[in-house]
Amino acid sequence: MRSFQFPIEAGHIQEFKRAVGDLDATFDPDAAAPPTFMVAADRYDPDYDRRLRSDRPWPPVAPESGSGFHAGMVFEYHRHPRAGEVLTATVADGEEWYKQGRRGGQLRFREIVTTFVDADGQPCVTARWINVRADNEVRE
Amino acid sequence: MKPEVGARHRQVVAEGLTRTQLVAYAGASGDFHPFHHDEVYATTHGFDQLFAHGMLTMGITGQALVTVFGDEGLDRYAADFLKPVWPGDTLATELVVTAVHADGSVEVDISTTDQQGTQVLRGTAAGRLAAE
Repeated sequence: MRSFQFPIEAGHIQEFKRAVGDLDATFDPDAAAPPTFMVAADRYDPDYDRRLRSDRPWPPVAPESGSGFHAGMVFEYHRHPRAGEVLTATVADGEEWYKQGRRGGQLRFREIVTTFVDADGQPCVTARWINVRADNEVRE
Repeated sequence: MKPEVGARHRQVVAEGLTRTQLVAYAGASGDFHPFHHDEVYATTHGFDQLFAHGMLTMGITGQALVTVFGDEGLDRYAADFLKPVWPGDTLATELVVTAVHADGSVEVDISTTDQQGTQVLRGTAAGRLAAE
């Protein structure tokens, strides 16, 4: 489990809105975070590895190493954060389950749960990143 | 969209997705995995070309949700990434109301398809519809 702070910045919201197709999004100092914005907390996660880092080779994980892939995502909104807030994100392992794959093997699904709380400690958003990989990779 | 079971909303959410948009999303999200901006890396690892982040497809689909739920109406948004989305793809999202609750909240099924009709994302959402 790890925690870090996620400042909700108006310019970042504008940049994110444009990136997901709202090409003419303008700067709004009081903007509400768009539906999937919480994933951008990764920019503030010191341990995030999908970025250039001085302590690791690039790219960090090659597909053949069996890291699996991002299969799905769930956001639960207790309320929608707005620009100017600073949230605390806590990342923890979630549930794990197995399904039969279409080609006969087993698939392992694993959740990574990030909980965002506001300055008063009240919940804002819970995000569940669902990763999947083939069982033969799990057993390596 | 009306709060009635079976009510539908369809919206084109991306027209000819560009590599530039993938790079813009990498910067905005912080996800610089080379599959999504490095053509040489992607083809070296078995793909025909680079492809969109699953979270970009979910974010693009989210535009249709903002249209019907507004900026702060969503209680929940879940998606499964079914197929890769490639540069040049045009995506359309369809929302269908599956339940209406006594408190006024609704549940919807979400389907995003590419220009060939292939479903690339399926999901569900719940919340309060914005006033029309």
